[in-house]
Amino acid sequence: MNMEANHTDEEMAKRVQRGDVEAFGCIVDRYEDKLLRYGRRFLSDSDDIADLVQDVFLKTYINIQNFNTELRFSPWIYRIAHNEFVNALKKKTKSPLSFFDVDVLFPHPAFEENYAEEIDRETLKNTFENFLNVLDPKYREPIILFYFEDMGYQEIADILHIPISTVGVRIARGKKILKKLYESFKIKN
Amino acid sequence: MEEKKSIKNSVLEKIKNGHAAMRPKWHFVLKAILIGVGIFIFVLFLLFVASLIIFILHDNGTWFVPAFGMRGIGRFFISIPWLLVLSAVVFIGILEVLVRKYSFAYRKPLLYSVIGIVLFVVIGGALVFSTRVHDQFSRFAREKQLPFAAPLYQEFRAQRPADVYPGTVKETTKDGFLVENKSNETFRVIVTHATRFPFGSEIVAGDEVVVMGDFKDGVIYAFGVRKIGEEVPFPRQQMEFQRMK
Repeated sequence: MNMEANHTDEEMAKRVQRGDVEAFGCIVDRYEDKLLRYGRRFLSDSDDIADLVQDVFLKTYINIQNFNTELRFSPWIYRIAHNEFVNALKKKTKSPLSFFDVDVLFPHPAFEENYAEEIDRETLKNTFENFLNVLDPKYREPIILFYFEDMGYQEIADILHIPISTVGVRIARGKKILKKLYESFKIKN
Repeated sequence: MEEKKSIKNSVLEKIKNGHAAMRPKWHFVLKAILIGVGIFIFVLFLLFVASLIIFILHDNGTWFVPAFGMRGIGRFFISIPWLLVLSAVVFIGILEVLVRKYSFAYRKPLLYSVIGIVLFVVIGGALVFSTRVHDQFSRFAREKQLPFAAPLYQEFRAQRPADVYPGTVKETTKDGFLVENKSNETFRVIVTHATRFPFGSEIVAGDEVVVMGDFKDGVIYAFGVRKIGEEVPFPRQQMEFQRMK
């Protein structure tokens, strides 16, 4: 622990591209916990998450030559994970899962740079985690990436392939739904 | 911890055993080139279709008739080659799907990239039209030197609107003028006080004109006459109809 710890993800990816399999082991070490956590929150049960994450790593390795080492590695591997998890969700729900909506169509200037308040972050993480599984996946995923994986709007846009302003809209709407769910839960109890 | 170890070991084992092989760089380069070529072909096709639509509307005179008021606007919409427009819309959709893979497109709302593509196609189509390439193709098609595209040009030529007559003024008469079309047919045009001249009534022999009107007994009773090839001073002068004296 060692020399590798000083290298960035992008440098490690470059080494993998040159044929260094051990460097890929280091990438697996760095991302395994993150992807398992992301998968558990997104898919809300952990039965096959480990298998899915393993597939994500294999696909990452198979396609590593397609990664541009000038760009950030993290959104790239999360994009692979997103595709894998969405496919798993489609199989699980056995219904066509559409991530397209009018939010993608029109501009939302108010949400371009209007990051959700930092002060909310910890409260929201701790309070709302239990309600994530009832949230529509199209709201659930940006919320997970923003609050639990500490990604920025642009990184989330790159992972989900949606406009940056749509990321803001979905986070805001998801948060509102979570708050409602939490309020009704509080009243019931 | 056990799960963690097993994932890493299992992944590295599959890689070392050759069960997961890294795709070579050229695979992705080739894929990117094929997508690029696909986009290029779609763009060329769209420019061709857009310029063909403009050409057809110019060729049959429909492009110029909205200046004659509501009747002209109605005729314009009826005469648009909707099949070509529909195919252009489908290809714009496919092109949108292709460019949406790139961050410059997906990071922005869909509306922006669609508007961008439509503007590009319309402006590009107008530029291609201005090169008169379709005039050449159409001429080749008439002379049967363009076997693959001849039916396309002939089909749309056959779909001329019934009350629009583009042509060249052969000579003026006391009640109008004689107009010769591209098929060398000559028609007599009668002009009345009700005839609309949205861009001036100075008609002389040799002028390229579009006449809109009803054809009866070999005579066109002009509802509107417009010279072609002049700047279109839209919209103010369009309202200032002049009457031929």
